[in-house]
Amino acid sequence: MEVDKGKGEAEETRKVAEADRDTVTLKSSDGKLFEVSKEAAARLSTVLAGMIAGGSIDDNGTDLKQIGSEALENVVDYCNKHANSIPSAALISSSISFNTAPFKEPEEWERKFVDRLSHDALFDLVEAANFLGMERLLDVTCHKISEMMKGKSPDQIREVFNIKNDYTKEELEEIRQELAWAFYDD
Amino acid sequence: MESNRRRSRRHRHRDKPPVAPKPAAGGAASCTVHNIPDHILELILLRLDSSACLVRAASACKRWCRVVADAGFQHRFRALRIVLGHFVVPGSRLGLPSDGGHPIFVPSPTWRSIHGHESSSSLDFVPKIADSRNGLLLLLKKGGRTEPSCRINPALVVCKDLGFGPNGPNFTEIRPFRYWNPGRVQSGGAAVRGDQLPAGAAELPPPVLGLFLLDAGRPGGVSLSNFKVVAVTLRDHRLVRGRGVPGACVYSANWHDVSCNWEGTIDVPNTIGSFFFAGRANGSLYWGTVSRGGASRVALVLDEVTAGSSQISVPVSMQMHGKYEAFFRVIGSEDGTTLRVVRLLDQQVRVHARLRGCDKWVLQTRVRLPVDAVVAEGGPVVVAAHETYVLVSPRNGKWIFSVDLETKAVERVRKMGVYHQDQAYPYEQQWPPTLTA
Repeated sequence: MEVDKGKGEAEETRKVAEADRDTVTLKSSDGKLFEVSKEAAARLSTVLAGMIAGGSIDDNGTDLKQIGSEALENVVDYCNKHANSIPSAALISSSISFNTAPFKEPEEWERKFVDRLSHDALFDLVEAANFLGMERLLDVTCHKISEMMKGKSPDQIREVFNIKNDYTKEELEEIRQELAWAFYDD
Repeated sequence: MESNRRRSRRHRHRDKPPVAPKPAAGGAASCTVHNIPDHILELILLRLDSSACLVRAASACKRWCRVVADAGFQHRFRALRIVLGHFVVPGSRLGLPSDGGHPIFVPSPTWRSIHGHESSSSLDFVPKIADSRNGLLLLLKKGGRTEPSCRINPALVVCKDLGFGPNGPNFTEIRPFRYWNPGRVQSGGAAVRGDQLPAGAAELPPPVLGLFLLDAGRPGGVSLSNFKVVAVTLRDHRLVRGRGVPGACVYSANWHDVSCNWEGTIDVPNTIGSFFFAGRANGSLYWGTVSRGGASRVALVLDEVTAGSSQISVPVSMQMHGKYEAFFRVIGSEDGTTLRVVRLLDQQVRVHARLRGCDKWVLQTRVRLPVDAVVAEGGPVVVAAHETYVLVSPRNGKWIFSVDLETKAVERVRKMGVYHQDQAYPYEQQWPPTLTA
């Protein structure tokens, strides 16, 4: 009787502990596992928030088949860094809508975070942020990519992004004539 | 042979690093700028803070251009019309070319953001500006003269900007007009077309209320391939002495095709002594009127598309001396639906908006000007008025102040070596640009 009671209590506390676990495990397309703070995940990603609320989080690793391990590592890294940084008003307002609300400049640590990424990693992270519904991360990464275009000529932009010029000479000339004010430097 | 080989080697060497196509690298999820979805590309391009950056990005490849040219994108991109600067014409009257000094190009913050430095220059090659739109200038060439009675007999030229020089835009003359008499146009040795002269047109041309560059009716705004020149005139009423009838004389880009529209359906009461051009708004041109006692409540409206005229009542301009357009302007709204009036009164900029569907006006904004904008004798005058801001200058001062109508911020723009009662013509670019993917 005594024993049974103790067992029941233990069962109970284990269940509580499980529900209270403050991390979730995510699994990348290539099978790697990552732990991320549950609170940060729910706050930063609408998709993860939905999964946590709906109970579809798998303790053995929630499958995210669209996201490679490198991008997921960056996502998790971002969430953890975010959890440690002081939440600012900028982040709260930017999560309303990034098309209508004015974009808040990235904070210092966010800037450093995207600056160290390679070109490919950056685009993978954009895709992952989009998939997971992480508006702030999408904002910050898109901002970084747009900064790579600023002050550049069309030729330089093509070089940076490895884009093939599919305009004819005549079409380009027409654009340059119509919009001469935008092409001051070349 | 030898040179061929060398060239091919150099070619190979140069092309290798940037163009080498990325193999998929095993990662199924690998993503590049080529396969990110359109809506993310849109988010990236929306982050560009200058329209010049955006145009250059759009000319990188057709897909980017298609995203930028999308109506939804352009709706979200903030700037609708980009004012790159102003041509300030000393001693001029708005809408009418004058014998004032050479125009001075004063760059806007947008221009400064593109060039990174401030610059203003005297455009001594530009004689007299009649109108400025979308990078096109309507100029009165030397040899043209303005008579005191406003009966003008000018040679007109339309100029197109060629991009920026170190001190401002460079223009090239693209099309001369010979403006002789409404209904008669000649250029070079071409024959005078008198067959469309309205009956009863006198020897003397009627008084001109203004010369304007308008679009020729195709979408996309005024451009090299889409413009016409309109001279708005006031002719005598055929039956009643002392009454005037407004009319418009249109010169299309293909100048042979001249048409004269006399669509004035209203006649102007003979109590009106004179007109002053008050601005363009939402596709119409507006004139304030002056009757015996001062500015009257009647404003003359000319529709840019139909050239039909009408009249509305406006909040009266309180100014009883000087040039009325220095105290009263008509502006539109950014969405093109609301008619507004800018007044300078009690050292304040006041904006009144017209309620839709009735002749009622409400005070929308009131901005108090800083002391240094008003101290000069005679108070401040309006130099230019736009949907989003007003340029104000103290009469005898040498500064121009920009008043933002949304934020109510007043910014000192730059010191001018010019005199009071100047008028400024915007050097602007239409947004969206006519890009086709």
